[in-house]
Amino acid sequence: MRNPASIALAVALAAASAFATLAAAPKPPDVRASLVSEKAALVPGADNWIALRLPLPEHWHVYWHNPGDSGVPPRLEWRLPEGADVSAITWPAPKRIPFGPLANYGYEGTVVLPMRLGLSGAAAASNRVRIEATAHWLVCREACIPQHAALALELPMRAANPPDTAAADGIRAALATAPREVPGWSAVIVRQDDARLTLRVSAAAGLDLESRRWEFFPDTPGTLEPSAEQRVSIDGRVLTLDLVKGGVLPGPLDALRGVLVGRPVSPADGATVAIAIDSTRGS
Amino acid sequence: MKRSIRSVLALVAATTVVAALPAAAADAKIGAPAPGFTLTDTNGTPHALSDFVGKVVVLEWTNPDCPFVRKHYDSKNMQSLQKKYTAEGVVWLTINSSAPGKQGSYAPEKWNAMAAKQSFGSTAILLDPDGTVGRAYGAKTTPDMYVIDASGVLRYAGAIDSIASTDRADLAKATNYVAAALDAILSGAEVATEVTQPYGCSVKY
Repeated sequence: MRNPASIALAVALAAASAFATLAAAPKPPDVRASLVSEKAALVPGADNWIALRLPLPEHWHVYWHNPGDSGVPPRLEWRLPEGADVSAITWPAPKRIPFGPLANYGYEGTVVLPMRLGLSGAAAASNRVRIEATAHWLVCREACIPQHAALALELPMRAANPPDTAAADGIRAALATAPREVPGWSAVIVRQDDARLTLRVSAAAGLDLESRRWEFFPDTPGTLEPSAEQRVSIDGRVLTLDLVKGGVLPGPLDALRGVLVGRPVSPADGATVAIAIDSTRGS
Repeated sequence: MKRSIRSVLALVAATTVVAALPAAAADAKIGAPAPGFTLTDTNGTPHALSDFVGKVVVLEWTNPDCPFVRKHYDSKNMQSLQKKYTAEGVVWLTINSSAPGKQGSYAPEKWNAMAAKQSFGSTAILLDPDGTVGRAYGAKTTPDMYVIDASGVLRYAGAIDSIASTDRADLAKATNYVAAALDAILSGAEVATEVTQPYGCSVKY
């Protein structure tokens, strides 16, 4: 069951950056980065989902767009044909990765970071489209190593309904945990002082709140203390989060934006949910 | 302006608790006296912060194996800053808070060899293996930078500059917050940017 147009055409020239050593530097992890596509062909005018795939060895991680206490997120420098356009990354829900008294927000395992590929004009009219990028990522265990790779993805065009590639499930799984604005959910900052704030989140009916562990990840670095405990209480359809502010941004916070992630306590409790939170939309 | 940096209040019992242990409460506050400390340098000489009253002091958290630190040292950016400002009377203390056995934890002789080879321009390299001083300041990354004025008041905390990367090519494009804070303090002006989010590797506590 091999889709010739997908991974086989993604060329990864992984090149760990020169890492001159003063002392025992860690052995760089072998991260075989690739560009992958959900579908075996591209459709002009459709949402063509592609992704940067970073299969990480055990114990290594890369970062969310807000990396927490340290680190930097992966980024891509694109070289695109005329008429091709790649969106920013749609970031899947991050995990908190503690390190001593500090903590990061990021990903472990096989990391899939989806993006939309849009086609118009010359690109939409051609038979095949080839896109190229240099991907840069910082991969850390205890030590951090910057790596980069020249990547390419070439796919044929098709009018409609191309079949899935082997990467399709991974891309869909990543998109399923990307934050969404869900009707009926709202949030508001109900209290704050120099050190803490209380976020009250009203949940729409339906989802079982009690069977998930809830954790909030702020969009802006420094707004919350990444390593601090988050106290979450549930009363009916209201989640109350007692959060420790970061010391970086001066004064009271006018707003809190980010993602509220609910991970099932046990696999039988369903899927991870990720709700986009904007306290200025609360009531 | 007194404001807590990365402070953490005492924990209280919770309905649902998600997290690791919080970072130690940082005592450092912008606009307040910088937390005092005494650390021993790589030549065995103890230095107290109070020894430097009357001088502007820079605290630079470092780890020579961190790629963000290497960006600033391999390019000589850090050494240039150290030399420029120590020539103007600033005390520049390079501090390592790596726990024994963790990345960046080196014997004093090794530090001195590195400093000679790379032409460090700091006043002293201070070793903080139990992380006490790092935690008191809330140091999170390498580099993480603090500027204390001649009266001992903390005036800047955060990133060395405005571009969080390991790429040397970004240095020319970045705004250096430490240089800006030092220039302001040395000329008697207000520090325009007092706190930024530091970037780099985590301090290896």
